[in-house]
Amino acid sequence: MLENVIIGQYVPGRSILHRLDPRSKLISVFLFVFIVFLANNWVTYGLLGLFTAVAIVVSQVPLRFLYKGLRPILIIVLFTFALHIFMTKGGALLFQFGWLKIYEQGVVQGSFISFRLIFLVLVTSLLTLTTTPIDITDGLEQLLGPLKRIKLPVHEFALMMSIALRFIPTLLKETEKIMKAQMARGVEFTSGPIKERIKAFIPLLVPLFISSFKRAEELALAMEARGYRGGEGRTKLRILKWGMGDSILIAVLLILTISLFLLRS
Amino acid sequence: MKELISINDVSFAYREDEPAILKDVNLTVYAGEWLAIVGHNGSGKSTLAKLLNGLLIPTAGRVIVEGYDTARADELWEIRKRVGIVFQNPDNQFVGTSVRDDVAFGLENFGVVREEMITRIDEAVRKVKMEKFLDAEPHHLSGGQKQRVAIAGILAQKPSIIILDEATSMLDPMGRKEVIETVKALNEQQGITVISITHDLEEAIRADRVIVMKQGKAIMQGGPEEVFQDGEMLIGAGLDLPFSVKLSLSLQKKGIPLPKAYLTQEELVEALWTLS
Amino acid sequence: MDIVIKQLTHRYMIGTPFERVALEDINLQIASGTFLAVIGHTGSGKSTLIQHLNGLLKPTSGTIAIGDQIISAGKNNKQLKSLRKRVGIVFQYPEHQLFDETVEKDIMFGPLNFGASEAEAKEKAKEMLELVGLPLGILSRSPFELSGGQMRRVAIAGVLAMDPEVLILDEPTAGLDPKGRVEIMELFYQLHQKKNLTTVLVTHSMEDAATYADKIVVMEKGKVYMEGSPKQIFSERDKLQAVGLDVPETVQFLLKWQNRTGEAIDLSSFTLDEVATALCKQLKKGGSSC
Repeated sequence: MLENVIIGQYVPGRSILHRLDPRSKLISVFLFVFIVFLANNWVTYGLLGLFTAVAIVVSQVPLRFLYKGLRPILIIVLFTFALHIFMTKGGALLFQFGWLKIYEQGVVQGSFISFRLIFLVLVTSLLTLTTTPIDITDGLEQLLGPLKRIKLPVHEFALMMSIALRFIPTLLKETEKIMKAQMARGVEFTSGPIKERIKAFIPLLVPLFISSFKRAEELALAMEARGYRGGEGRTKLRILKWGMGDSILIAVLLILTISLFLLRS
Repeated sequence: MKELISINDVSFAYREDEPAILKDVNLTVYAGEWLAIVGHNGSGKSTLAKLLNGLLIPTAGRVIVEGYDTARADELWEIRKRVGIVFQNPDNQFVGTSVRDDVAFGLENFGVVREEMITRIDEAVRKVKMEKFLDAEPHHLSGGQKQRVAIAGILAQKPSIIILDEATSMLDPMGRKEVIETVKALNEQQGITVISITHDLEEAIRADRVIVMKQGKAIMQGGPEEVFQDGEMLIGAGLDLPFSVKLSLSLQKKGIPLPKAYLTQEELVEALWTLS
Repeated sequence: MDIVIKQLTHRYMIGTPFERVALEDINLQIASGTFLAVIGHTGSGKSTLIQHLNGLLKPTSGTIAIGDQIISAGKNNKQLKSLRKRVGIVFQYPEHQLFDETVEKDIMFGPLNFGASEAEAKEKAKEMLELVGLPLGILSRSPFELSGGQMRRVAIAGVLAMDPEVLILDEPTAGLDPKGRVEIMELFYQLHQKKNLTTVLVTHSMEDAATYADKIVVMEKGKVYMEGSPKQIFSERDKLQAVGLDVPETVQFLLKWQNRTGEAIDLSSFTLDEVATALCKQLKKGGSSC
């Protein structure tokens, strides 16, 4: 039953982080992505680590979900770590085996880069783990609102996102159904040579495309019948509330930024 | 009775070089009635529904809804506020990511202020008995529930007319019953006018008035009692007959002197009882 | 082929918060050549049950024997493909599975997958198209240009082209108009008799179950709630109504008539004609002109 998969990574909860306005979370993550690059010594990395750790604790998200987000990039982290360890020369010679030499600077640089990657992934994961996709969409629509003045279709983009989110489970269900129908006609999706398996997807994809177009057409008609005519003059039921917590979060981020500037070497 | 919609000599074709889907249709919809439009697939009945709220504009003739003309772009929004359509496929008209968001969609489009929206949504979902599902996501709802949400979305706009465009044809018997009972209550208690485009003849029997469509023309209008007497006309229009009518006709053929075809089982039982 | 289902249980999404029992301890025997109707509400387990019959779903526990082939829990079941050739499924809204450029190619798809030669498959396509009542002229047309009713028939032809011995029908008439509904059901019934198929029909229509089935299974909450001949099943109106189902219109009418007259009448007339004849006889006191 594909229909029960959780869309995005959102883990339902009532923590402070869950309840924050998606705008403040989006701004903070955006800012964090930049200030990560300010860190260049143990103190500044320590500060970033502290911030990340506190955020994780406050979010109450079980660690295994964070690990799931981290897993795909672990290989990259290890690779960059190795690259730095072997390539960077400087500082005391720590280890030597034949031509292989590891210097102190190599270990330090390798660790820094690895931490940078890990912090980035953890903090962005926290955003998606504690915010529903629809809230992220709302947040983005509001934050990008001013861009409407330069004719950027912000409303349309947000509507597109929310309709896409709405239809993901429907399409998954449909995929499952068509897959079964074609399996009953002798298609094997999971066995046989690769070439055959790729070919097997045509009888799945064509019906999916056709039904999606039909859905789109009917949905457009239904929306028009309900008075949709673009974003102008439209009111919104979903509103975002900026609270004390949000201001505090932004303040913390600003303090962090200033500290990084002061403490970096 | 007050006229809500009047359709005068309306013809429609998607393109000029294509044969007309509707030909010279004339009809009036009265306030508070339940009007059933029946016909075979391709008889033009769904096209007619789309003409009633300006999703399509007639190629000839005029459609007037409470004094507004569907052909005038500036009056279209007034019309769409008053005429809501529940379409066939429950999934393809659910816009929001939750029941609440979906019911709000129409209100947002018409620029209703937020506080007003909240009271109207609460009221509308209560009328369709979906108040316990306000935060439910569409893929956790049954077909009948989704159609009831669609009805709530229309109700929130305070319409005068609800059109059911084969709205029950993809539902199981339970879902069908839920939807028809919901709309029936709205028709009787709130006086909302209902136009039901349907294959379901058992439903058409209970309408106040029936219109039979065949190849783009309204070939018959009248009360169900009158329309369903003419079995041959209905079969000629590619329709089936309701059970009791079929049984009446079959008994007549076998030489039982029934005076007419009866619409309901109860009536037929009574008629047979008097004969015996 | 005989089908024997023993202690079949199926759970969805095992080990997740969504885990739920879809089927529980199902025991059923479907003798070769039976026309079985499975009725019950949406979510009663009907669809889950029939998907076990050709291995699209595998049991969590229990076994399904189809002819000499046994599907059971845990075991990695090879030869599913040969099973799927013998057990054809027409899903709800089968027109959604059409994909090929022409009607002919689409019907040929199944037979080709199951090892038929190009020539054999072509021959089958023609034969099946005629069988479902469509003109041969549309063989070279795209299936997507056809009307909804025609598309449905092409999709059905695509399943029949595999020459299954067991035919499973999951609400094959959903969404059709009354005329199309009768035509499609008559088509399946004739095929069932002519080819001596074992047919399993999942339906919401008590009328169809009464008219076509030899045997009826009523599902409720993942269990077999009732099992028997149409006559047996539809003589227990109270039990059906307890789970929100009912007897066919014909029986409803006869019951009303019986109540009015106070005279007992045979309640197992399931077609309109049978009801008319029975009434006529009673009214004319056994008259021969009925």
